Amino acid sequence: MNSIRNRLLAGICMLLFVISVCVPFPAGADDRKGTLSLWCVQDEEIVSGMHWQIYRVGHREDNDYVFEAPFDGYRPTLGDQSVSMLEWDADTVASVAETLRVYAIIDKLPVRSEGVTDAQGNLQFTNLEDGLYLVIGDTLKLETKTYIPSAIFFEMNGEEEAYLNAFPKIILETQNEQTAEYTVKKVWMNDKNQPPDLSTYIICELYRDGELYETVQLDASNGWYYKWSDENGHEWLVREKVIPKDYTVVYKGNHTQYLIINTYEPPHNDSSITDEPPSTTTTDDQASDVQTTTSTVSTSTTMPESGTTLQSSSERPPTETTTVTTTVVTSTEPPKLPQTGQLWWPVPLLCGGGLTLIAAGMWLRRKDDQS
Amino acid sequence: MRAVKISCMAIGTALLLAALFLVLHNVAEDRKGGEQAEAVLSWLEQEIPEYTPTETTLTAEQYDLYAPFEERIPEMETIERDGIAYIGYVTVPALDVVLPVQSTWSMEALKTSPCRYAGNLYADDLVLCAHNYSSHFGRIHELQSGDDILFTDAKGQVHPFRVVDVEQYPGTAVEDVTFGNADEWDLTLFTCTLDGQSRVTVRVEKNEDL
Repeated sequence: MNSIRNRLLAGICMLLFVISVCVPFPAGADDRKGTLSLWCVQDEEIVSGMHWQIYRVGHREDNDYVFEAPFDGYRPTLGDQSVSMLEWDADTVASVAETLRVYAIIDKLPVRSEGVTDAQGNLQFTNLEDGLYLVIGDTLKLETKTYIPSAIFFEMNGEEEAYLNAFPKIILETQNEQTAEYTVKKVWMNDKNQPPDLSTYIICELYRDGELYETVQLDASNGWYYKWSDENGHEWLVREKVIPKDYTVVYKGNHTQYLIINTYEPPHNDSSITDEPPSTTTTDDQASDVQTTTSTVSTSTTMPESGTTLQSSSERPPTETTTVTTTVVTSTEPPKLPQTGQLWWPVPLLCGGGLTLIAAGMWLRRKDDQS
Repeated sequence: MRAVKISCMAIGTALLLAALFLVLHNVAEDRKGGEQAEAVLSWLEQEIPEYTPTETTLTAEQYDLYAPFEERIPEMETIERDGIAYIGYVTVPALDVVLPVQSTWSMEALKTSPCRYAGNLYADDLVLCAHNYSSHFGRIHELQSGDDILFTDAKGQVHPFRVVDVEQYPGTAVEDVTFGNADEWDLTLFTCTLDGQSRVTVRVEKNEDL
């Protein structure tokens, strides 16, 4: 009885297999799946063992890309909103990719697939539908070299196998020291004609390997500067938690310095109010191995602790009141520029006086002679 | 009556002699200042190396991310001679004048050459003062807008400027001479007028064309 049942099941399975192989399903464009072959090779330099992740970001629609969840929330605040993403220049595309990399790590967005480059520096992501993907890699440290990959946008568009060359930047460094020192600095960039209107402090979040590690306050008392130490081998990210109203923010970072630049941006009439995330663009400075992240600030931001909304400078965090005693030393004699002139003014006086006296003496003499 | 007559003649002659003495003194001082400046200049021209721009390629480790945002204006290099530091020399082709410039000013220092009164060449706010010797800045009132001025720093780099304005300020106008409209000039030269009450002030801007 069992043997008959097993034969029947085997027959059904065989039939299904034959049907699946011999009778192809009608494949629509949306069902196409391809493979992305990532190569970390340049000249003779092969980067093996680098961990990469791929995120599905969106798909092409009409003449633009439409971001899909969970990336759709970022799209309105990325790059140049006045033109289609297809019209962005390479720098803008690269910067947006870097920005999304920061969000993907900090906000722990779901990874579509991940893997490690093999001995040939190759990694394949399979079963990718047509669409826009973000490919990001982890920093890899090998002996005296540190490899820093850039985030890359990639579009699958009907290919069975697509190739992507992603050679990370290489930084030579000594790994002798167990600890490294990191610093973050805040810079205000105000418009020339704008009156000083700075926040009294900012809250800066320090992320260590993608996890919030520390929240620090930067203000005038510490020179908008913070320094910390950590053992080597960790990746740090820095984000300004509350971006001042009417300011844009730029994040720049090499592997030990992180710079936050707030630039005054006059409010635009068409600005939309969003809470999260701030609009962000990122540039990747190849020449200096510096990654730059720029965020366009939403017109209102939420206070990190209290949840209140900053609407104007008067509502910014209060500052401590300090009484300063100033001693004013007054001088009755105003400061003068150095006397760089020679003593010429007495010459005409002396000449005039002398000639006058001599003339008077001669006149008296003539008068005396006449008398 | 005779005594008055003699006194007038004697005092008048004395005053004329005093005037003559003062003129001779000033001329001698002018000439001495010129000679001293010339001596220093010939030495300085030998000491200042030929400028060769250096291109440095910064690696990521060396790249200071904060540097562009910090006002790290380098102090002007100096060359010392007999304990006196010089920051370079200034050339005024229109007046056929080339003069060394001392790093700091004092009344004694001004007898030798022009001095830095304030500012920094690299911060575009350098102010030079000098005596109004004809061999020093005595003729800068003759300069006109567009005239070239060159400043050669202690590294040998020649910084070309051109005159944008010549004006006079009272001797008490320290702020005006040193900081007034600083965005509109990069270098200032000043000296006394003949009466000593005012300062002939020449505003100079960088000449990007050269």
